[in-house]
Order: sequence, then C-alpha cells, then structure tokens
Amino acid sequence: MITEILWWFFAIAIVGTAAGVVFSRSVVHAAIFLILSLAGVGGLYIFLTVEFVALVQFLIYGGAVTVLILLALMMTRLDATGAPDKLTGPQAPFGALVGITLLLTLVGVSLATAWPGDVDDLPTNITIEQIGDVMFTSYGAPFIIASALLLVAFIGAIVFAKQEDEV
Amino acid sequence: MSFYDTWSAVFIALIAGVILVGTALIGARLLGPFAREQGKSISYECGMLPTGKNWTQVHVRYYLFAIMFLIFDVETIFIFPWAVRFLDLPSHAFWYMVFFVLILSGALFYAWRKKVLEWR
Amino acid sequence: MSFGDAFFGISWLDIIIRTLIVVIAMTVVVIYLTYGERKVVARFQMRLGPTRTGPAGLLQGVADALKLVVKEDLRPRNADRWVFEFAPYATFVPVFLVLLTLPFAENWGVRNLALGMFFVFAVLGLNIVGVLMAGFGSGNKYALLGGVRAAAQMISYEIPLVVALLTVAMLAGTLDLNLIASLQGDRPFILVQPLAFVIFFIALLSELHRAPFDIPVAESEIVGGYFVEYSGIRWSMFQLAEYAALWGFSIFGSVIFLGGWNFPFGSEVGVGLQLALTLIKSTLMILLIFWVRATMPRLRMDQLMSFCWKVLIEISFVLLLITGFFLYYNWPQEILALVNWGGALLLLTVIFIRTRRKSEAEDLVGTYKNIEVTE
Repeated sequence: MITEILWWFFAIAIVGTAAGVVFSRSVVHAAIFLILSLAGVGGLYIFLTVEFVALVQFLIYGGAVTVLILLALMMTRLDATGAPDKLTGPQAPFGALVGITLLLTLVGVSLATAWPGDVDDLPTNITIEQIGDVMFTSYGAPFIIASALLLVAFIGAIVFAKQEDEV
Repeated sequence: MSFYDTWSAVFIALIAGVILVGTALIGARLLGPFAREQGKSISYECGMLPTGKNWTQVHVRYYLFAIMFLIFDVETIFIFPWAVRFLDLPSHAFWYMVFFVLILSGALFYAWRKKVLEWR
Repeated sequence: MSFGDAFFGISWLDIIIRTLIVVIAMTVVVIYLTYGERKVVARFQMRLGPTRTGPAGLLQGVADALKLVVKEDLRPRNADRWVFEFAPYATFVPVFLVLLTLPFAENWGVRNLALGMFFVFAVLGLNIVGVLMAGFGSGNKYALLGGVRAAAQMISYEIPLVVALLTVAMLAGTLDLNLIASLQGDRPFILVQPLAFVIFFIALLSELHRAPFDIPVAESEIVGGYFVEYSGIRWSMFQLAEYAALWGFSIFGSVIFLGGWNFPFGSEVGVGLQLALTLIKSTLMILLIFWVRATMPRLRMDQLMSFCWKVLIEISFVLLLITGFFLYYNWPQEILALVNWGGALLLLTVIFIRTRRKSEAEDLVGTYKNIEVTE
C-alpha cells in the first residue's frame, strides 16, 4: 500500500522530469532534468528489489553519463542567457519519423510482452551474490565480449577526441 | 530490518537533506539583510568589470577524461559482484576477471601510448 | 534497539529519530571541525589560531555559523538562476546520504545497507553533478573553470579509490560496512592491505579537495573555484558539505581499514566504548589529512591528473590482481601483507623524494642567464 503510493510518486516524477528534458530551452537544464529522471528510474529498480542494479543506475547514469553529457555540452558554444537556437529546420520531418517509429516500437513491445503480473511473484531481494554467481558462471562469454566492447568504445573515443600533436 | 525498511531510510534521509538545506536558505532569507542595489550582482572577476561572454567553452580534454572515466567505472561495476563472490566460484570465473582486467589494461596502455593521459 | 513501532513494515519513527541524531551530530562536528582545522593548521605554522571567541577560541565556529546566517545572500545578475539555486542541494544531499549507512558502533547507524560500500560511491557520483552545476550556474569564468576542473579531478580519482576498496571487499567477501568492521576483531585490514590504504587516502584527499589536491578550489589561482559567486548561507552549504564529507569519509576509512568499532576491544565492550573508538580513529584520520594539508605544496592540474592516471590507477589494478591470486590460490596472507607493505613504503618513498626534488621553477631561476631571447 505505502509502496504503491511511493511507486506512483516515483513514476510521476520520472515522467515529469522526462517532460522537462524535452521542453526546457537550455540544454544544461535538460541535462539536469535527465539526471533526475534517470535517478528516478534507479528508484524503480528498488521497488523491484534489485538494489545492486539500482545503485548501478545511480552510479553510471546519475553520475558518470550525466557528467559526460554536461562536460560535452560545456564544450559547445552555449550561453544560458542568450536566445535559444531555432528548434526546427530541414531535419524536422526526419526527427518526427524517428520519434514516431520509436514510440510505435515501444508501445508495440510493451503490448506484446507477457508481463509477469504481480510484483509480489518476484523473488525478494536479489542480492549482489546471486548476480555475481550467475554472471560469472552462466554468462561468462557475454562478460568477456562486454570487455571487448568496452575496449572498442575506449579506443573509439580516443581516436575521435584525441588532439593532434602540435608540430 | 527488512529490505523496504532500509531503503525507505534512504528516501527519508534524502528528504531530510533537502529540508535541511531548504530551511537554512529560507532562514537566511528571513534573517539576512537585503538591499536593492545593482552593482553587487555583477559577476566577480577580481574586481574588474567582466569582459567577454559569461560562459566560456571548456577544453576537449575534459570530455576525453570523462569518457575514460565512464569506461573504467563500468569496469569497476563488473568487479564488484566478482569481488564478493570469487572465492566460491569455479576457477574459470576467476580467470575471466583476470582476462577482463588485462583487456582494459590494454586500453589504458593504448591511451598512454597515444599520449592522451597527459593533461595539455 | 528500535524507537517506535513498525507501520506498514517500516519503522518510520525509528528512522526519523536516528536521522535527526545524525543531523545534530553532523552540525556540531562540522562547526568544531572548522575550528579544529584552523587551530591545528595554525599550530603547524607556529601561530595560535582563533583565541578570542570564548575560552581558547572554542566558540569561533558558532560565531562563524551565526555570521553566515545573517549575511546577505547574493545571486549574480547573469547567473543561470535555477541551476545556481539548486547546486547547494545537489552538493550537500549526496554527502548527507553517505552518513546514513555508516556504522558508528555495532549496528549503530541510521540503517545498515547490504551494499554499503557500493552505495557510498553511487551517491558520491551524484555529488560531482552538484559541483558542475555550481560551476556552470554562476555565470562566471572562474567558477566554470573550477567546476570542470573539480569534476575532472573527482571522476579521475574515483577509480583508484574504488579499486583500492575493492581489494578490501575481496578480503572481507562483503560490501556491508558493519560486517566489514566485525571481521576485523583481531587484525584491522590496514595491516594486510597498507598499499590499498595509501591509495585510498591519496584518492580521498583528492575527492575532498584537500591540499595538495585543492587546485579546483584554489584561492590564488581561480579565486576559490566553483563557489566563487556564492555568499552567506549558500556558500556555507558547500562548506557544510565539504566538512561533512571529511567527517563521513574519515569514519568510512576507519571502518574499512582501521577496524571501526571492533578493533581492538571486540564487540562485547558496549556502545559507549565503541563510539569512543570510532571517534578516536576518525579523529586520527582527520588529523592526518590536516597534517598533509599543512605540509604539502599544491599540485598543478597536469601533475595531479597524470599522477592519477599514470601511477595510482596502474598500482591499484596490479594490487587487485595480486590480492586475487593470493586469496584464490590460498597463498599465505603474511606474504600478501609483506608485498603490500613493501609496495606502500616504495610508493611513499617515491612521493617523498619527488616532493623534495628541486622544482623546475627553481631550476629556471638558477639558469635564467642562459635563456636566449629570440624575439
């Protein structure tokens, strides 16, 4: 009962801050709304009793990714007080196409999925030990592939952002 | 203590922290003086009048370090479940992590060779 | 022990009372930490420090707090208003959440999280966002520079910090802070993992922006860093967050490395003595931090970043693998401790020699005659 009230609180907060991301004029404001929204999603993981995943959400999306986004935004020529850039341009129809496709896909997937029903059916409190056991015994190969993915992402980022040596 | 009990403590502490800062700010607004004077709201640049734009662009190296941090942060997250369980897992699980750390060390080595670890 | 009854399975009253106790303790500790820092650093510099306000200056912190409350609260005209207003919240609240999971004595905290150590890092990451918000929101070039520098420094040093603590988590086999303390009844983990403690301590100085890693908040370079535009109570919120983090992390470090409430008296001695132990150990940590602050010169930004990425991260990952091999193949822990002590002494010696070395600037002073003027 109390968890349901809190769940609704979190759900509304996530949707509200997500709307803030879309409607705020300043990109930095949008990034800060994004932090709140992602942290709220971390809260939802707690309702699913996977506290490790919730904390990963806080750490990676709340901390690391948004710091990355903020630093990337500050790299651009932004000005919080200046007039906002023009929001529409020749890209508008393509943007609309991508947005509508994504919306239809998400709605379709969420309608087609057979949801497990009540949250109470889930096993209670999935611990980090259980996650570790499964990850390193059954999913060892995907884990190693993930490391290769991280390596590729790392090298790619360096290749893109590396400064050329001054001559 | 149950699971929800612990995490509602986190939620309550979150609210308590916000209330703490909020009361301090409101208290200062009530107690502190306030004078309508425009000169003091000019941003501080060592006593000179501010020049140029208020926001400058930051250098690309901050982005580079942020993305390297992101990769290593993800790596440490994979180590967390391993660190608490590796003594009870079969030996291939132990060697998976050794391999994983070595691959990421290769990434760090690459960054070192490409001189991106230097701050310039 | 629990205050009040449970309501929907959650003992609200108990949580609220414990949180209030932590709030009050934090306020008192922060007020006296500011006084203590001034006093200790003054003695290091052969001064007296505050002496006028109350006996031996004991009321100086209270007087400062009162002064800050009744100061005018300014907001620069070209600040980004909402980012500026919310930055103190985003900086302070994560630090406050860290205090939530610390075991001050056996099972004496607000709540003991099963993932306590991980929780501390997760919320610390959110703190960086507050620093960036303060830097951006001020609409000031120095503040922006201080904010992004602080963010770059904090994210970099978070990696060796986490990895050094992971080696302890491997030793303990848990992330629960209370359990980690209870495992250290006969030997604190600093005896087995001193190198991890050294890495943790250096990274901690950097996360807290203490000297010698205080370039983001350097007065002489960027006039105070990301909170240059904050005044009065808003500025004191950053100060509160900084000192609360100092207190919280010294308790965190003493729980993880120095045995917390457990070593050397064990869990039977009662809460009073355990609280005293926590107090003594965290005071030792804080005094060590003040000592380093009074001794070491400030590092340049490039030195600071290359020290993290080229020294600390490598050492911490090597230590992680070594610890893994020793524990997994059941090699004797005495040898692990020996290797660790060797590494720790080597690292400290290298740091000592490097800081004693004549700086490049001094070399330039000696050789300025030889510099050819080309243009």
